[in-house]
Amino acid sequence: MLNFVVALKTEAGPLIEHFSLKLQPNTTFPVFSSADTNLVISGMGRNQASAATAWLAATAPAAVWVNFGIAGHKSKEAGNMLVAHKISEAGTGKSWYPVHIKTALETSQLTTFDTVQRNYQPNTLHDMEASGFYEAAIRFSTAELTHSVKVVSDNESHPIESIDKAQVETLITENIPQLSGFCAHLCHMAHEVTHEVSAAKIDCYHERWKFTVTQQHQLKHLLQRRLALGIDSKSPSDSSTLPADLCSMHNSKAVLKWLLNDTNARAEFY
Amino acid sequence: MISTIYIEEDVRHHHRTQEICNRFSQATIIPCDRYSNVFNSNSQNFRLQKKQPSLILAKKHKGRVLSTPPGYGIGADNNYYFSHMMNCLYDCRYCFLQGMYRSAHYVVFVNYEDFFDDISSVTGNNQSASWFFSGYDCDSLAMEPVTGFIESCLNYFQDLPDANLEVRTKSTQIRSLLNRPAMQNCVMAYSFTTEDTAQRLEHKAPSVEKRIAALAKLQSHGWPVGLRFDPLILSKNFEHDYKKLLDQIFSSINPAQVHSVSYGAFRLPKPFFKKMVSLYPDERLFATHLSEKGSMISYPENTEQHCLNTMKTLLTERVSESVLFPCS
Repeated sequence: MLNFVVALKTEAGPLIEHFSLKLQPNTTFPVFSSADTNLVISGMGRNQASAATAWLAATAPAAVWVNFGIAGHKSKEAGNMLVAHKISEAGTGKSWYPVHIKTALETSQLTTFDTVQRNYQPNTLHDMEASGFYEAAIRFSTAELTHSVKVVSDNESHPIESIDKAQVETLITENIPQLSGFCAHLCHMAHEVTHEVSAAKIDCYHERWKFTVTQQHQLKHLLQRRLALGIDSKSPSDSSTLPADLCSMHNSKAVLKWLLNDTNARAEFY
Repeated sequence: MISTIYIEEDVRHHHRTQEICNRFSQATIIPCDRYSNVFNSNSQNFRLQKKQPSLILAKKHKGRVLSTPPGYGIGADNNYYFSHMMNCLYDCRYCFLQGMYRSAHYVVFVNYEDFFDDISSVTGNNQSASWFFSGYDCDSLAMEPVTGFIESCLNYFQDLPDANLEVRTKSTQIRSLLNRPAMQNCVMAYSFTTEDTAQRLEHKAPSVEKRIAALAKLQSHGWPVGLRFDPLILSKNFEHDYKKLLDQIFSSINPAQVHSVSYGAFRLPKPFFKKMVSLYPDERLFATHLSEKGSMISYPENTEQHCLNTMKTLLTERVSESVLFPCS
């Protein structure tokens, strides 16, 4: 699952169109979704970005998080898209280091300000949301899969006042293919670290026996061990496929003991 | 190989920083205040980072030379370890580093001379000889062409006759060692598992065959060499597999001139093991029958003793018991 956090509707428009996202009804923040992508419009400012990120994480958890939008830069040309390798918060002095992954995207330092900046500092993107987004999003994912991507919209030669909505949309639309490729790369990475025993496999145990929360963790761990050892197949089972002597167990404690003994007996050697 | 280099402010102008960066002229350079801001930050995934680790150049301010844990040593009373580098080029699935560190980035502390001064100071404080173990948090030689650390280290140890150095490695980067006279107070210690285990678990590491070849060259050159069989990994044909390994090794080197052999069964601190399982839930090794013993995860007692006793028997057929050092 991929989650975007975007400040303004103008910035969001091209993404909504490209990813075929639909407005969701009755949400605290405007959210547009498809089967595998969500986009929340947070509003301006790091506090808004933080709140929207936390809210989206609670309602639609995802492995990949991307804060996307426009940003200023002292010297970079408008239209350049960059991913932040360091995010600094001007108001507090805090800094974060998203893990720099090797992609075709150029990288830059990014500084989040509390107000629109007209005096550009050297060697950094200027925005108003990234730090709020990142500090929140990193609680729900990993540094490798959480990024701020910005399209330069204004610089010393062409300050923010000279930019209009149509120009913003054009700048973003031109970068959609590259953004899409970057996100696809992140989603591919996410897939590598998402390993779960299938819910169906666990459910077939819950159908027969009642497990406490602690026992549910123990069950999951044992089933994962059995998968790793090739004892059980990856395909979902129903309770009719469980071994007969396991099915004869009267309670969850006995089931766990049976699974542990059976697994250990078949797992002596690497 | 390295596409990103983080440079700590303290070492921005250090000559070694410049030399190392010159080797990776295409890398993105990212300044940071302290290496720990990058290396120790929360929510990192070791497994993902291991695919493309970055390099962090930093200064080690304190805790450069530390006493080894109990039971770690090769016969001496004064044992210390030091880590000029954190994390390893290789990706051995049994390695505790993936359970210990949040990040897979390579950290190189460029203030080598501070390490050497501490080694000198510790040596001077001891009445009897001191042993210093390199390769605790990294492979000692794997990044030698980049860091040149062992070369610098050996220059220092040649003037410290009461200090002994173990260079523990799986690497074949031995050119600099063959280009200088061997030193009798420095042992080149190679780590081995069986060929099958090496292929399945020691990702990116040189093959057993290549390691043996490097070991043989070093011994021929006059370097004291050691063998390290830690961890011992239990397989279905454990005795057969390790006998085959030992036959391979001792057909290439002179057993009478082996400095030391240490061996220990697979074991990990519990929190490290838990993290490693979460990173690699599909890894067979972690799913085998292991037991909790105090704060450690290891083979069940009988199994562990079987491994250790079998290995001891195999080794004493080839080398003197006086050079054997079991580890726990």
